[in-house]
Amino acid sequence: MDISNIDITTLGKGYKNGDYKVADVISEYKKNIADKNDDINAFLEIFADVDQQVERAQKMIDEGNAMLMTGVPVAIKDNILIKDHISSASSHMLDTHKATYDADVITTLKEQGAILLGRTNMDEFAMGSSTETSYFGNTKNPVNTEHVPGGSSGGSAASIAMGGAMVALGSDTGGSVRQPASFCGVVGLCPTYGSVSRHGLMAMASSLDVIGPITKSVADAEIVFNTIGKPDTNDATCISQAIRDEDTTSGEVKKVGVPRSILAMDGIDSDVLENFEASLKVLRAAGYEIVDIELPLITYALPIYYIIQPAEASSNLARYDGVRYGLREDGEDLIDTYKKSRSKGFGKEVQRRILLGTYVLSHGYYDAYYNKATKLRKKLRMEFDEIFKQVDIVLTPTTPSTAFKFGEKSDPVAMYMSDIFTVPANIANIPALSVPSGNDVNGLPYGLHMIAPHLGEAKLFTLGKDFESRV
Amino acid sequence: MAIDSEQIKKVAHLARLHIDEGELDGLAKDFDAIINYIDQITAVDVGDISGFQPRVNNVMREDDNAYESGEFSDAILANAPDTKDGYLKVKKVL
Repeated sequence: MDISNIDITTLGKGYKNGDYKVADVISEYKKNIADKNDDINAFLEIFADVDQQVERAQKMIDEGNAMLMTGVPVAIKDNILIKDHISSASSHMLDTHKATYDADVITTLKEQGAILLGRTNMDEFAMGSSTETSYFGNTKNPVNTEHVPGGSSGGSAASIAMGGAMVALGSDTGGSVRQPASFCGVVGLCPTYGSVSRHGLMAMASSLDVIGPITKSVADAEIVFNTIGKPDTNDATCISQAIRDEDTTSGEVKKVGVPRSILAMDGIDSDVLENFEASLKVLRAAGYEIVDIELPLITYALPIYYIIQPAEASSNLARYDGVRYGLREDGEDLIDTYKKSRSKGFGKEVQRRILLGTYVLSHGYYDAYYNKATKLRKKLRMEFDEIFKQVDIVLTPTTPSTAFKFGEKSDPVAMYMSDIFTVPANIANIPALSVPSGNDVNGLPYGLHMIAPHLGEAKLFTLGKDFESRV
Repeated sequence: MAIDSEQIKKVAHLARLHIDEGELDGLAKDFDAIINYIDQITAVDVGDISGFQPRVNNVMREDDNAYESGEFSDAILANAPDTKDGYLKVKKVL
């Protein structure tokens, strides 16, 4: 059977009328994984209990109890906890760590009877934009294996692009779902902060982290979002049902805004800008009004991010001390044990960001950097809120270049620039979607990036589906 | 403002990281570039943020439905490198 053109809805219909059996469908995905994963390294592990999950899903279908995601093959990023499975954040620090509980999104997917195929490779502790910092080796971009898949959810994006899963979950703190989705030619959604529970997501930057789906189509991303986007009292930052109910944002999209100041920055490839203008042309022809807008702080979102994120990550990673979780390297005394364990367990980029975070939080710098960044962050959100009174969606390219080659971005600041278009949404805690928008001369995908107001995912799905159908 | 190796060492100690002598210079250089980059925000005027209205406030949940003490201890301690009698075991503190 050809699974390459089936989406969640078609799959569900096929299951319901008996055209498809879960075992057959999963077998096709497993075949793709067997053929390609040794080279691509998208999956770190395929779970041993897949057959049991398949049986259970088929039973649900046969008994008429199928739900939207029953029997859907899902790949899970290695920083989302699945009880009794290894969850390692692709780090040596946690390479034997077994999760002691299910993340809320996992509980939901299990209730749905989704098939959790395995865990996917990522940049270590979600710090990176290329999946080159994983303790378990690089993941390759299935579109062109000499190029990176993006990061930090590179394994998740690659799993979809290579036909290894129908849905993948990733985490997005500064673009880690959208950027790899764009590099691999698939769809990536970063939901509104707090719309999906973070219970069971290993914390990186607690005020920025969001779990989001990577899929082949916008419609599939919408289904996954509707499934996992719900209140959870185990996550104090998860938006209550009351607030969700009182939100009146409609899914209507009439007017889109382009923040020209950010497009004028250095370091954006000219072909990316050309592809962006081509996308605007498509939307104009489809009847959308496109206007230039001013978001003065948007060009500062990246330095704001590289203060807040390392600061919060340095706090969150303090728990990895050689005492509570797998790895320990003994030192002369307790502090020495902490130092030796952490220096052995963490890779270079993680250590660099922890140091950076510690520095910006330390005496003498806390006010100038972290406090200032927090204030600017509020201002940026206020700017977005104002703009969304005039436009429905803000548009940019997803990335300043198509997927680069391995080892190409060796300078840390150059690597950080990959996030220039994606971080503003995280800083403002608003949702954003990346949709494929064509390929460059080497066949590497471009992405169109749509930013919506807080809890405005419906607008993303409206514009996303329409654009998708016209590209 | 150049970041030097001594500052890296100080920050490393705070972060409970050990950096090899041979790596200090390279790290200081990287650090310098990054700090220079983020430093640009210090010149930006914040303006008036009194109108900022967060939609969501962090709420503490009620401490009800308490579980039986010890119910999860074994599972949690299973990940620890060294334990004794249900405690995490470490080197002498004092």
